[in-house]
Amino acid sequence: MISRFQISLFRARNTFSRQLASYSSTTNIKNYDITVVGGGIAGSSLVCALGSSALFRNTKIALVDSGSLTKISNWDPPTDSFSNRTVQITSANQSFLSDIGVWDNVYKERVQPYSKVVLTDMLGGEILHFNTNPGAEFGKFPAYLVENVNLHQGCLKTISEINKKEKRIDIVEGIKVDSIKQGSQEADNFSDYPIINLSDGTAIKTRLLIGSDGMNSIVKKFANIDTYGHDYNQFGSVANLCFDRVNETAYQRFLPTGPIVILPLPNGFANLVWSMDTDVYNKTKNLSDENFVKLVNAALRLTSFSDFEYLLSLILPDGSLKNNIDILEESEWRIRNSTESSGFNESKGYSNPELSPPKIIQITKGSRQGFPLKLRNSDKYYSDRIALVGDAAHTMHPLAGQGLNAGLTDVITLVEILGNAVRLGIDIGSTENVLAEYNNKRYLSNTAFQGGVDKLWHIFRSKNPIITTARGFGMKTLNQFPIIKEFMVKNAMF
Amino acid sequence: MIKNTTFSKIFLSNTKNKTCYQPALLRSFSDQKDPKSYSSINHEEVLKFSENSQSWWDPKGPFMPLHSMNPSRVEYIRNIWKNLKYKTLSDQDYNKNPAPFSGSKIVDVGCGGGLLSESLSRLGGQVLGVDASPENIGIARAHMLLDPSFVDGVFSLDYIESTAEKLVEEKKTFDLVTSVEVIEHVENYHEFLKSLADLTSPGGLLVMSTINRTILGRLLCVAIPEYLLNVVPRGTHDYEKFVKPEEISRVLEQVGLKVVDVTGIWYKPISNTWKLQHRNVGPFSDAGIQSNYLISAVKL
Repeated sequence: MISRFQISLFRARNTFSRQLASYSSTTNIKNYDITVVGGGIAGSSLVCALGSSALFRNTKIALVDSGSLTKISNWDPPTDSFSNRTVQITSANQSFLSDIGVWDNVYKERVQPYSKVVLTDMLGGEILHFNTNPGAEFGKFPAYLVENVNLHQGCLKTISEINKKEKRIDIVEGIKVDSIKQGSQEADNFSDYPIINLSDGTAIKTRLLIGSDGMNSIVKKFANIDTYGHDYNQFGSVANLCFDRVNETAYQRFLPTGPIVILPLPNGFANLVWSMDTDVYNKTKNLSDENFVKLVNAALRLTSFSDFEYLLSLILPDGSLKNNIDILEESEWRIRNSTESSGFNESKGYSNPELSPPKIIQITKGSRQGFPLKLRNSDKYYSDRIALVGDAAHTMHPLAGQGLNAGLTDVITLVEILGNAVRLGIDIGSTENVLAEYNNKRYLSNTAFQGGVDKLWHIFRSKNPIITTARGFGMKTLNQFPIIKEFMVKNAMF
Repeated sequence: MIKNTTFSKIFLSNTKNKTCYQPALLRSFSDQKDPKSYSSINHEEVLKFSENSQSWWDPKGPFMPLHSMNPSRVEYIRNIWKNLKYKTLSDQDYNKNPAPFSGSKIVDVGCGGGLLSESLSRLGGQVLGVDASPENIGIARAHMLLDPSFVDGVFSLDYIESTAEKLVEEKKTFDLVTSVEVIEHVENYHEFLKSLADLTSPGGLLVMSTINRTILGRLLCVAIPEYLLNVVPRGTHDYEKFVKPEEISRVLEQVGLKVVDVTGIWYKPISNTWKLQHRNVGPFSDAGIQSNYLISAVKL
């Protein structure tokens, strides 16, 4: 029958006099209403949303980041290349970024809006193509490909603009979080407000702490929120590519070793996200850029998995090729002589030439990178006066390129709930009115989405003929139902 | 009960010595008159709430309905306040105002643990919460001290153990007078309403919420929560004391207030939230206000 409140009152009684005594001495503790730890895209867009809304004009906001945000702010976009780290933004999230002023601060000439997606399956042999919004004017596309750094800088520019008008957001950068203490752990803290001790010796006491500090979130660690998930035993290989012509279509191809995704950038550039089993990754990582390009072109066109496996078998551990065989010649010969029927093999031409991916001619020097793929979810997205957003809460397979979109949806949801709380005079750190509601709105949806992407991953990996046939049938059927396809595009499944 | 009183005394005497810390919070606590001298106070009722006072801020405790109802009440007060003070502003702009009560004096009569008082203070009002139960006032103050914004004076909030009648005697007036779920617990609602009217400054607003004396009111606010679900302590409400909106209107009109709105408030059990319900539901007039309702009046 002893409620939490009674306990905190008891604590209050015991520590109140001490609190009074130490009140003036602890001047290095700053009070904030909202403290965001982690100034990545999720964290800084959250701060932009709070700072650009009149509802939060009396809310004291701090953004803490251990890295140097200045480096991102000073990013000078190169004229001849694109970054290899990009993000697909859904139209809903693009509207949000517009509303909070971030979109205006993004270099538009470096953003590729697109509405066409071509999906192919190496084993099922089907083509599924989406083109939901032909001729849409800029601003109404189902998806946008943006370089992370371009979007990140846009967020930081927006923060400076907000602060120029009226100082709303305190930025604490290059300073690490040493520890976070809450409640009884901190003798002087007689409420449950988190106290964040920083590496420069100062501290922040905050009504609400938001952890947007990525997969290895410190906030999550101190909040004792458990993480579960699994590693895919796969690597994502990213690179910036150049096509032989301008292209505004996204291509996704399912290989039994993992999906290969090519996302369009302006001026014939594109980004590759190729997920592959660790052994395949280890084989390909030492390939020269030239041979890697040939392998990607082959992977997009080969219709037989054994042909693809044969090509892989030619690669020696040091990245050179057995007998100096040319992958290009080898793959073209195999495509020409392919006996397997397929709607899109090169000998027949892609059944519709418009759906054929352009040839990749080059890789931007130094843009090839690999990273292990993981799926992670947290037990919950909150604890007392603490909320997690973005990768701190969940990470998923990049198959659908949705990691950041889910993070932005977290941000949109949390800002909306916080705004409602402010409007109704509710304590914005309250569990029952704010944090539990945020968790209810996001947890199930993220878990289902993660689960869906995870399932898709398993389905499209399968070499089982029953599943590959069903897969082909599913894709064929989907082509007949534009409404379902449109739904999938709107929700950016691909 | 005894334990609780002792607790309040210890806590408050502890803080009283430190008035330099935040004098406004504590100054008026000791000069209490005996609340018995006021006619509208029902002592058994005061005692009843005192016994449960320590649970005021437990969202799953006996005051659970008040917790879940609070956001809808604030929403209602915000909306009525707009019609009165921000007539020319668009709804969209008004909804972006975090402090619509800025610069306004507010009294919350029968503030209990301070649920509504805290919210109105966060919305910019200079809020005084009064309650006849010293235990409630102790709890409300203690809870307020947990929030630095109240302690540091970012928001203006004060509590005193007092009654509407006593404030009238002191000739205090307020721009907004609220009294939620109180009138059904007072001894003489005519007297009580007259005091609330006297506390409202000319052009000011009085908002109350209570339960209608109808079959539905009895079922939804007494029988089900107190006897079937046991979420509210038995005996919290006495059906005979429920007041109908037209009865309130009649009294208020005699003392120079005009009732401007009556709105129902309905519980949504699945989400544990409450929904403001228009007085008339489709063709059924007054159907929305058959159980809990909010009533607003403007002093002419």
